[in-house]
Amino acid sequence: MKSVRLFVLGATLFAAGCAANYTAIDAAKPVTIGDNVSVIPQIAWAQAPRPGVSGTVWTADGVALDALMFFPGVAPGQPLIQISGVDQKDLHVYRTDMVPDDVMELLTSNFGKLGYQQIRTSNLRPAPFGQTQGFRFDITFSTQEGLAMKGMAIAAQRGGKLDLIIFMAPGEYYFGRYSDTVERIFSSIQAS
Amino acid sequence: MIVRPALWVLCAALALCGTEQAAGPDKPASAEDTLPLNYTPPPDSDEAGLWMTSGQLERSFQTSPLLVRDPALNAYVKRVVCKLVPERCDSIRIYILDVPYFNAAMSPNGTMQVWTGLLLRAHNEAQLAFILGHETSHYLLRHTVSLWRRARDTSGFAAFFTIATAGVGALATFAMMDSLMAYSRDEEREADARGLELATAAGYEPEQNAFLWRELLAEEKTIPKHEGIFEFTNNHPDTQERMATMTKRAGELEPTHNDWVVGTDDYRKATAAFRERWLEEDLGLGHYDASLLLINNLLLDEPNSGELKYFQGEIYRRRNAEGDAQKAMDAYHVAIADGGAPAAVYRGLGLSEMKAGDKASARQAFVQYLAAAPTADDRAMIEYYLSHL
Repeated sequence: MKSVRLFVLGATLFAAGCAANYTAIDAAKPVTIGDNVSVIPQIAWAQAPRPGVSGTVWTADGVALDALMFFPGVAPGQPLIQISGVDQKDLHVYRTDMVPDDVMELLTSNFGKLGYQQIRTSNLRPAPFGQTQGFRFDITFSTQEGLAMKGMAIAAQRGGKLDLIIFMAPGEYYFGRYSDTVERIFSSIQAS
Repeated sequence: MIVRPALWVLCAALALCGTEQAAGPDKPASAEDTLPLNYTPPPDSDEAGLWMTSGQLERSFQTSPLLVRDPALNAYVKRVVCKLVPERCDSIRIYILDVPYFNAAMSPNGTMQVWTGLLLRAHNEAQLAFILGHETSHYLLRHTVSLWRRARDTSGFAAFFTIATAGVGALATFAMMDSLMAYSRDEEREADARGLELATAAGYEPEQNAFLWRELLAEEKTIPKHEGIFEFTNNHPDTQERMATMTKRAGELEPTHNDWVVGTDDYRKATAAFRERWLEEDLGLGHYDASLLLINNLLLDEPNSGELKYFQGEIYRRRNAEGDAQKAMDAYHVAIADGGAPAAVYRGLGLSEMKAGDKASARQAFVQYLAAAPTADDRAMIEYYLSHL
């Protein structure tokens, strides 16, 4: 029974969009996503509900097909992704002494907690996050349904907190369809 | 059939799940109970329907991105199965799935799944043989048919059938099956006995039978309950009873031969090319305490493995509990001294030294990393670190 629960948790990121209450995101209007971080959406997105999981998610074709997720202002002692029903002490948490490698590994372990498989990160590199120094990395994994996913992430550690944005989509077709758009969004980041 | 995504075999072998029944037989079932060679169910039987569902599930594995297609590894696992049941060699089809949990299973139509988390944890060919022998016994004794038949009669089977026939991967399917399927304790005891018979007849050392179970039970205790990967404890009286039975039978059989096969070298040779990847995937689960137990168990056999010491260092560095930073650096140094560690050992050491404030040592380690892995995809990040040291 417990493993069914794990499956449900793992599916939450994608299944959240099954409910109603989407909010339209205008393509050209800058949006503040939290922690004084704003982006220009570039295309029209829908902000999807995420019951039980922290952060904000935008999607163009549905969260099972593409998901741009924002985790702004993750404070020390907080997990990267908070999951309803999962004891926080069992999640790995952000610490201010983390270096970019640690943050990337933190995301990996959080994805592992969600039941994703074959999680691999690559191309960790410095990158501007608005006007501040940040870093980027790529990630691939399989969902519990066996779907091969690709992702790209940008993050910055500012004022003792972590800002993380990650885009993920099935590697076949959907990732490539939106990767250029997401690149432009990453370039549009303003952080103050 | 698979019961749990991680320790279902343990569950099966130790009868921790299933309906409560009186203690059953601990000797092999009779020959009449064994699946006939080249058996196919009558087309108008309910068993034919179960075979059809099994076949659809099998096709989903054939197209799964989790399927490990390496010919040599598949041939090796196949050889082990063929040693156990040579007459069934052609009728059992093996699918190795790249999932970092301990798992193996058979379906009524002769499909066998072996997950890479099992291959990572087995120390030798004999241990793999005992696990596969147990599961093959469920198939031979037609427990799989009984199991699927019971599952079919539950309300959840329609949902499972939907998943199975949608062509999806492994874990979601088995998570669903978890709630539907459990062998009875008598079936488990019969499979224990038949599995032992098959593996020892193939020459595998009886003492290896219970060895892995003991390690898995220890690993189980370290996993958070909510994740449900390991949810059984060795406090269960039936577990203790069956462990005792396994140990007793092994003790009786051990003196009967002096040429038992363990197969450590063959096993390492077959799995060596994959172990680093499997260890990375295990680490990616974030079960650091469990990963540490696993590494320490493997180090018992290979105390001078630089690869294993590297991963021990990685676990300490990522877990970052009290005292772990120093343990990580110590492990990295031993890994470098022992040889065989991947180039990333220098990156791990550099990160640890950098966080410890030893800039000179961090710089040296990062420079060594870039020298050992000049095309590393994180080169720009390492150079960034170096520019700030």
